[in-house]
Amino acid sequence: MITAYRAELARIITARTLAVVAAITVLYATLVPWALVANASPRPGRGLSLIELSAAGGGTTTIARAASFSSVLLLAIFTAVSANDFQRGTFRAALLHHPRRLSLIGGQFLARLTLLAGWVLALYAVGWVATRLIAPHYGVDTSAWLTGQSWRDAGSDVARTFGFAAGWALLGTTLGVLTRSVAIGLAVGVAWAGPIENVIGDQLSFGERWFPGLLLRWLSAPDMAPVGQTATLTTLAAYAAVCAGILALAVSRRDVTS
Amino acid sequence: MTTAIEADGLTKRYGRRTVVDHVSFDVPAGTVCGLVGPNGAGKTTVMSMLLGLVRPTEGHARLLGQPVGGRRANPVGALIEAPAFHAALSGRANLTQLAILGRHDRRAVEATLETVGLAERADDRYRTYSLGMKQRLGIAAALLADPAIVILDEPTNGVDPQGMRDIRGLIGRIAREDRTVLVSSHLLAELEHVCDHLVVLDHGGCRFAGPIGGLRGERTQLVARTTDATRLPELLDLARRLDPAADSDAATASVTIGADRPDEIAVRWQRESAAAGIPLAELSQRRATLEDSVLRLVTPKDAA
Repeated sequence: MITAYRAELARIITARTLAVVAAITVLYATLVPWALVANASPRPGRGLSLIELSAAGGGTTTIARAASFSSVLLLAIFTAVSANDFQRGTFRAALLHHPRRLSLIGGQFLARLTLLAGWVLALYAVGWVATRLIAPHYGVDTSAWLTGQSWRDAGSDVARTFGFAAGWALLGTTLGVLTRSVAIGLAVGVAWAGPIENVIGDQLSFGERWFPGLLLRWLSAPDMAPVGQTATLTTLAAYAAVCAGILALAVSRRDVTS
Repeated sequence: MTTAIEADGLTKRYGRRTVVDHVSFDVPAGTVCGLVGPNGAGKTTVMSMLLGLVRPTEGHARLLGQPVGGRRANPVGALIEAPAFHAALSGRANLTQLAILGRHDRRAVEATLETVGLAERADDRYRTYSLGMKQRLGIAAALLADPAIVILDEPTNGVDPQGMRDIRGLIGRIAREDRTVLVSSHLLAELEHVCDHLVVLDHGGCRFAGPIGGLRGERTQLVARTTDATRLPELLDLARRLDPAADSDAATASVTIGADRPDEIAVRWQRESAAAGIPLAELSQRRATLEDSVLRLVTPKDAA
């Protein structure tokens, strides 16, 4: 798995990829927190409030919220990348040099998660600096953002965001490997993560408790969650195990014909 | 002679459709073996089973005595279906990635780029390569691990005549490096120059497997041309008594038969034609091409 991991890193960490990711990160980590701060209400309510933003951890709360909007983007990227490997035959070509299928898919996924982890860290670093520069212009007191509690909250926010992103990455990878088609994978993924989860799921208590996308949203933004943290984490762990099992079965048993 | 590739009763079914039906053949080590047959004969599926990409419904395969799909990596390099590389990476970066993946010697990247004649374009992105260059990069990837067995699926597919000649030369060079090469193509003339063994597939079944000389032995043909085109059907009737597979060509007013003992058959055919009053302008022997021999083994599409 280590060789598959190293080979995938060598493929994805190129100057061009890093430039694209950096550009998206700077834009995303600047514009979304800006919009959240600019629209913050004076008192606690449905969205972020100035009181929450001025509290310890306020500097990273905006980024955690910003990251939670990236679900469909993450699902689409991971679905497309994994489906594309089968559609274009690069997975088949890789198997000719690394015939251990589970080790190959595992190494590739871990390498992509590594890049994702780097992205989350960069998102927080850029986002925190940007928010710190923007916030005072909208009446946010940032004096509590450098306390020990703030850094602990930041660590917790980063971990939650990474869990959220890794969850969508696993769902996307599973979808891509199962469909082996970028078009079909994206159609199914976007339909599920968009209208089905957010429109239908939001209306049903069943959806709030069981739909994986909504559970990942509660993981990212626990203050909005109608479900307890333990229930959220347990259900998500079960989904991760099911996805890993499906992935392992699909990759090890199915013929690789394209 | 050691057997490099051993296929034993390989069968692949998708539901009720059988695409490969109990195919068995051996390829001796150090030979170049052509895998031929019309489109849809099952060539790619057989190769995919040999590479462990497709699981046989029945049967098994061994490469240098080692079962395909076992725990150990097989001693094989391959280009299967079509070259598949990452479009945004250069040829060199693609090969480097595969070298890391397969724990191959990194120096092999430069060596194989030289072998396939891509060293000068190695830093260009894959998406800018011509079809011939893509095929050559695919062959370079197949050679990265310095494999004892090289499997190439239609390596000249879509390549222009000059590219075909280059790739044919490349296959010859690979074979001279003491490797076993299994190469598929539907362009039989192309294989005739490089192969010493042949496996003929048709509708998923194996029609012939063995040294190419085994096919050449049956390949002397007699061609009779009449000066009176209206007598061509009679000439064909006479010929079918000598070879039921006799075939006529109205454009040249000639009939062709296969003959194991051509001198003897020629005398007999000439005598019978004269007795029937059919004027012959020419009666000649020719060596049939590989294509002629293979076409005799496969079922015509309209008869399938």
